[in-house]
Amino acid sequence: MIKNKTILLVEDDMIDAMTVKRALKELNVINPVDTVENGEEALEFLRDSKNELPGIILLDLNMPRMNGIEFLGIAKKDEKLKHIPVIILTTSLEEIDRIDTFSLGVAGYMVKPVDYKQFVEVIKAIKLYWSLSELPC
Amino acid sequence: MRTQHKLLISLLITALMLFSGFLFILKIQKQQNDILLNSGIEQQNSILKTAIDAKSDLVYRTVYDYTYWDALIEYMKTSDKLWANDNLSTLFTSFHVNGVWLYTLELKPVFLEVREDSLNTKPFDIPKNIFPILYKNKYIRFYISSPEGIYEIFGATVHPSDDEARNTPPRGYFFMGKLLNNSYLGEMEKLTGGTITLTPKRTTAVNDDSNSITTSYPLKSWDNNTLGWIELSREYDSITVFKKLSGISTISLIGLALVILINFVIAFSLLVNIPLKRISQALLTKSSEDRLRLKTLKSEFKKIGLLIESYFEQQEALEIEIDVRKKTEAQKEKLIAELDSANRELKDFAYIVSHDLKAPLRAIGSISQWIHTDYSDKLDEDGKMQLDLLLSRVHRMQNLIEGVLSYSRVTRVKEENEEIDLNKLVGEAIEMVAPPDNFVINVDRDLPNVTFGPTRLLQVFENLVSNAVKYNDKETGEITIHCTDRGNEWAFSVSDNGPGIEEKYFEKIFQIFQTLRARDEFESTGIGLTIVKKIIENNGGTIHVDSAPGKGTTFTFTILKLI
Repeated sequence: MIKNKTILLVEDDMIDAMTVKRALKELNVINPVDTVENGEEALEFLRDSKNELPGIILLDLNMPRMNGIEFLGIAKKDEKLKHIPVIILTTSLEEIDRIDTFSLGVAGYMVKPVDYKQFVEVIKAIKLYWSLSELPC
Repeated sequence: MRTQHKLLISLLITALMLFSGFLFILKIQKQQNDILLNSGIEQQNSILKTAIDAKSDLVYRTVYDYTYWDALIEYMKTSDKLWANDNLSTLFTSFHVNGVWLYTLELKPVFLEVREDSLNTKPFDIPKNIFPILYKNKYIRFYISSPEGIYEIFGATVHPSDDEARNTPPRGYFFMGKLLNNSYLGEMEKLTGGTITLTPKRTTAVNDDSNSITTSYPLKSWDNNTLGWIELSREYDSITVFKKLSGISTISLIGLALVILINFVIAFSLLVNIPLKRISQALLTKSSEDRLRLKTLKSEFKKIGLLIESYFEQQEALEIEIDVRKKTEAQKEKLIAELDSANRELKDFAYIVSHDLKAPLRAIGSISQWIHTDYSDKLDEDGKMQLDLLLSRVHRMQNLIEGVLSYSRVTRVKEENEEIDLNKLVGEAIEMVAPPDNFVINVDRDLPNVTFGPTRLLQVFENLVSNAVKYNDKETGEITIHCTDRGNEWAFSVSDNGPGIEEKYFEKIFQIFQTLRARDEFESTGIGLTIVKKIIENNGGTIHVDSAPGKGTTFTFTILKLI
């Protein structure tokens, strides 16, 4: 993973968050992970000048208060935020969600597997993508 | 203008024509009447004339006989009273004359006597102007007025006995007069058989009131003045009859016209007007009372009435039907709306529930794996096996949830239809199933193009092929995909040489979460065929299975050619 860049995890399920963090640790990703629980908190976090802008956002779709799609709709219009790559991490297999999120310019769409080992494989793919893809800094 | 009025007017015109025809007949009658009267008048005129002449004749002949007589000439010279008594005074009694005059040529009166009813009245002279005319004409006849009345006078010149032709110059003048008194008129009445009157003024020839004809004869003086008229009045039965007849015919003709008119009006009103009124009334009000009256109509109107009644009945039936249909429609719409919202709720419910079930399931799965890893030194084999069992049930539940989600997706998510090349799509489906090498798959060449949602159709073939592969128990699996043209639809079959299915399970295999084998023995969600059936049926097709244990299975489904 790109050095020192933080990862912003937008996830309301504590165990899912734990799963992501555990998988990252297992894959030896040392970048710090900031966790917020919904779209509103994510925007608050990103707009707080004290916080460093993350290198990547892992975004759940089903969340209370402001869901992933709503968050994307706002973030992708924000000049400061729209370049940050967003990868969707969701349980939804719905075609419509895939279409909507890609229309809003997401970098990837991953479905959370039930099996933890498969989950680790997904995170590995994200790590690989982030490592190989050239990103705007 | 209403038809009724038109008919009445034409009726009036007919009546007028009838009336003018009647007037024409009357006129002809009148002409006939006039002809009859005129001939009657002529006849009566000649009767009167003849009667008057007959009365005059005797006097005239006496005057003629006396005036070629020598004794009379002698008497003018002698004035012998005795002779006059014997020969002249007797004239009054024997000939019923009323006056005798004898003048000499020098106009000296020799004998002058006037009597009425045998009484001597004051005699009057013959006017002097008459004598020159008499001298010239030898005879004269005229009427003269006197205080007693009108006299008819005959005069002649006196000649000798041997000069009957009166060629010698006259020797004197002789006159005889007859007073037109009541006895004269009475005699005239006897002769004519009518009523004789003497009037100074002439009356009309025909008296309309008395059915009589009156003719008159003028009484002319010597100088051609009319002194009065003798009138003859006679009643004629033929006139009475004729008048009566024409009166009767007039009345009967008018009566006939009236009867025809009234009859026509009544018939028109009864036969046409009343039925028409009833019909229009019934059509206007549509009330049952008026409609009942239609049934009393007769002849052509009966048919019309029946037609109207059947029309009403049809209309009523139609109205009832429309009412029922409206109600049914409203009920249907309500039901559809209810069903729609229930369906939508159910879909959302299935989606949300399934979705939300996944998160905790994943957590259980993850944590059981972490325990397995983190505490492997503290767990014995039993504990590890139990954790593995826990994980396998998590997987099963995961599959069930995915099944529910994909089942609900069939109706929840719409897919646009497009033209699909089945040769390509069936190939893709087989590729996705990736059957092992011991499988032989036969696909018909030249599969048709169909209009369908591509993902859905792929799902159908993938599921059917996948089932055929999954349950196959032969060393060499055989799968055949075949297509038949059924006119307005295509029939596709997927056959295998697998174990086959008993007929009693044919329905069950299409029900959700129904599997024919125990879960632990064979991992299956039992959702595949349910989804296939739903996709096919949602697109207007059907699916059925043909199978017997040990004989393999054939699934046949249809797709409409034009959607």
